[in-house]
Amino acid sequence: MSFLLRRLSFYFTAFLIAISFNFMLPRMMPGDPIDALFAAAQGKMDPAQMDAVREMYGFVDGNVFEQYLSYMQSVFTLDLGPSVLMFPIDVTTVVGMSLPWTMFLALGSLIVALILGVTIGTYSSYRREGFFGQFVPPFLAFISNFPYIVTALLLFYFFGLQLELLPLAYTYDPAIDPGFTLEFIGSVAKHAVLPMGSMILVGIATWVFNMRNAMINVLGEDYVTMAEAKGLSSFRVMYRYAGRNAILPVATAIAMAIGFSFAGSIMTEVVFNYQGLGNILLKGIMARDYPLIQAILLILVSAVLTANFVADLLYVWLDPRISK
Amino acid sequence: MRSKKILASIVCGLLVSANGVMAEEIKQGGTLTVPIINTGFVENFNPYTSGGLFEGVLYEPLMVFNNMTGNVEYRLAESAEYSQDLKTITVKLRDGLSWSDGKALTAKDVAFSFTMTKATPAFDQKAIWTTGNLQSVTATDAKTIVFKLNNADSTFIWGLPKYHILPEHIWSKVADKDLPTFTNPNPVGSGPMTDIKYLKPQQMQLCRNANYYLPNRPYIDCITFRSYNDNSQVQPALMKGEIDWGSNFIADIDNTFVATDPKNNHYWYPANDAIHLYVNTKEAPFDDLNVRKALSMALDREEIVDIAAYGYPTANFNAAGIAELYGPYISKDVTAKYKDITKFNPEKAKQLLDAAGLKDLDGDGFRDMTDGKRVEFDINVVNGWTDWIQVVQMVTEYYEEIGIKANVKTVDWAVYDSGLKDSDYKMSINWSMVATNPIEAYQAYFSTSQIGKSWHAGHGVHSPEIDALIDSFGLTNDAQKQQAILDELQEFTAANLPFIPLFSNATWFQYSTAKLVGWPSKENPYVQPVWYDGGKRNLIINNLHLK
Repeated sequence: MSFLLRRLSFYFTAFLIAISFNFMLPRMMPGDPIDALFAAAQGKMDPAQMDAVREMYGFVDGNVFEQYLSYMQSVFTLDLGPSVLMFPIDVTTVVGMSLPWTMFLALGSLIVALILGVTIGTYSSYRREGFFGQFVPPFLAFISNFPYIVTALLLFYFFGLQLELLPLAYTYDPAIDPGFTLEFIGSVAKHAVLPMGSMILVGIATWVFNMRNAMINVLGEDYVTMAEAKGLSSFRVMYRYAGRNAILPVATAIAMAIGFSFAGSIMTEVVFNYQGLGNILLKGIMARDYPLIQAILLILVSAVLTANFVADLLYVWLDPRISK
Repeated sequence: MRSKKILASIVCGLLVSANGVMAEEIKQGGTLTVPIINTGFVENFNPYTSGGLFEGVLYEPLMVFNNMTGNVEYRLAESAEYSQDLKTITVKLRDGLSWSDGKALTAKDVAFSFTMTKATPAFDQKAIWTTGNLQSVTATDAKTIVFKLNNADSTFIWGLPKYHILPEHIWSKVADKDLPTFTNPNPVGSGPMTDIKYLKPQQMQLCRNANYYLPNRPYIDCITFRSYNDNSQVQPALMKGEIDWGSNFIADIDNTFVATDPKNNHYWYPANDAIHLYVNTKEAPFDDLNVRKALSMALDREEIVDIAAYGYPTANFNAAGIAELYGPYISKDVTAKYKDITKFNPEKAKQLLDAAGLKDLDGDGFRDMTDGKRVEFDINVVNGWTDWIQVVQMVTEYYEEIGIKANVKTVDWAVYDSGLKDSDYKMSINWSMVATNPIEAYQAYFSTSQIGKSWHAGHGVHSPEIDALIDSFGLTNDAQKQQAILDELQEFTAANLPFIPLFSNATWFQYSTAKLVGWPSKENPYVQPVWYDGGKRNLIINNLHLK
């Protein structure tokens, strides 16, 4: 229990530091939301109007400490105020609109990459002398070393622009109505292929290697040799004897990967104009939309910290020695 | 006798066929699809906080100042007159105006719409209340609105279309303090498209206003907005025919867009604002007029336009601060008098620099100041504005030819923006004002009140006489006197050269005639084709119809 408390207080401190950075970072960028807004109006606004607009958006020049206190208050009450970009719509509403798409993209690609990766990892370690074991893991390692953005752009160019096989933008065809119809679900799936595909391509190698390394250790164990000696089918040895034991370290890595997957979806969304958090984060940064930037960074920070905390809990459950 | 009969029948026949053609030509129906660059659509129909999305569509302006034709196009208003002393404006509304919900639109609504912005300074687009020239707005009868000004100002009227005319029976129910966050659900307007058919995050549709004041207008039934992230996504959408109207730079447009459907894909790029290299005349060596002249003569503007900007803009050889956009106002005398300044003449430029004492002292190929320090400066340009970056790149090459070391400096918008306003630059490429009258451009260049506020006033050339001259413009309504003031300002600009003219930007306008016709074009230039302007877009929406 004291272990849990120690971890919790550690994460709480980390959270406080992270949200303080959230407050500072946008303010360290040159320009403020009203300057950006004014620029977007292309001279149609009178400079004398600027102060009034600044007040309307709630950016009265109080001292930074006061701003910080009210920011902290807003974080803990989850009342983040109106977005500048989509004024007067609340930041919570804006985030609520796009968060599901990001979760779909981040978690969906993580799950697919995990299943594929673990399967490939298991098989390639078991048959590591063969062509598959020799060729596939290095090839995947090569692909995964491309940054998200490069993979995404390559897919965008070939499948979207050149072959015109798959749509280049949106989460679904804007012409059809959302709902539980075959047409809508099909459209969502079609629009998810490229963004999700690029994230899977980048993410898969981690799981292949995690699984492969764990498997190679386990395969050297006596009980595996024993199982083989008993004449069990290789499928049974691979999955029942080796695989089940090897997956434990992978399980803890999943928790960590959730946070990274969220971060990775940001770039992908921008390339494919996918209407998730990453897309509006970029727009928010360009418009210096402090409330929106803060809200999204808050979600990312929470996702990473929560995932880490869950990983800690998993470790304790898997290896009771840690909590001592 | 017989010939008369024939003539008569020909005339009759012509009349009949002309009518026939007219009736046949203007078909009702169809949908216009336009790209909107934003983060997605939200349920906010407040015209002051929705980024201009509904101007001229849901909300009809009082009038439109058409800079292409020089006419005032009256919309809700029927006329607008100044009094003799230029302190009173009387606006008369058309007969029988009504809101989209069927209620009558009267002078009271108009007066209310203006008075409302007094309580909500954030809506006061031209700061008519806060900086105080407007004394009162009153409805004297159902059709007449009277604006009373504190001081005579003939330019005041240009600001009126920036204010949205809103129904008093709805907006007066909202408390003043709630106005900025009021999202105006179920909007009532007087524009051509007031019926919100649907609103999804990535697409929305507005359809025709059954109570629109012009018979049979708009010809089209609906307008669809589609959301895009940035220009790079608008280009493929245009090529695929997803949208009918583009307002973006497209590289090599003849091959990438027109060639895919030469019969229907068109573009028309009339001149827009003049682009200059703004020079900080407060710093050596730019404080020397001859150095500025040399830097201007070193440039081959035709080449820059052709190579760096794909030939779409038009080279600007007028050193007087205004270009093709303000064609009728340009003083030919001033242009002719200073024509050498903008003529490509590197030899003359070198002579001027030699005479100014900038010589290569250490033999590295670049000129030095008299104290031996190399003349070297950055030219600011915004990150990602690729066509301008290419232009500046070419400029630095021309400067190298005359022994001047200049560097391209790409900066974030916010840095560029504050640099221009705070005069924190050596040289910076920048645009100039697009307005109803060039006086507004000169105001932005030279008025001392604009220093620190305008992007165009950081060059450091100002004088009390010029301030007074600019202010005197509003005191007269006489076109000749106004032109005399503009001539004097042109002379002042060309003589002092606070910026080096480059070219007139193109008005980016691509359109498809696959479904709809009636677009403004080179053959029929009834308005400058700008989507991002409520008034201009209103005129175009009113003209489009099915093929």
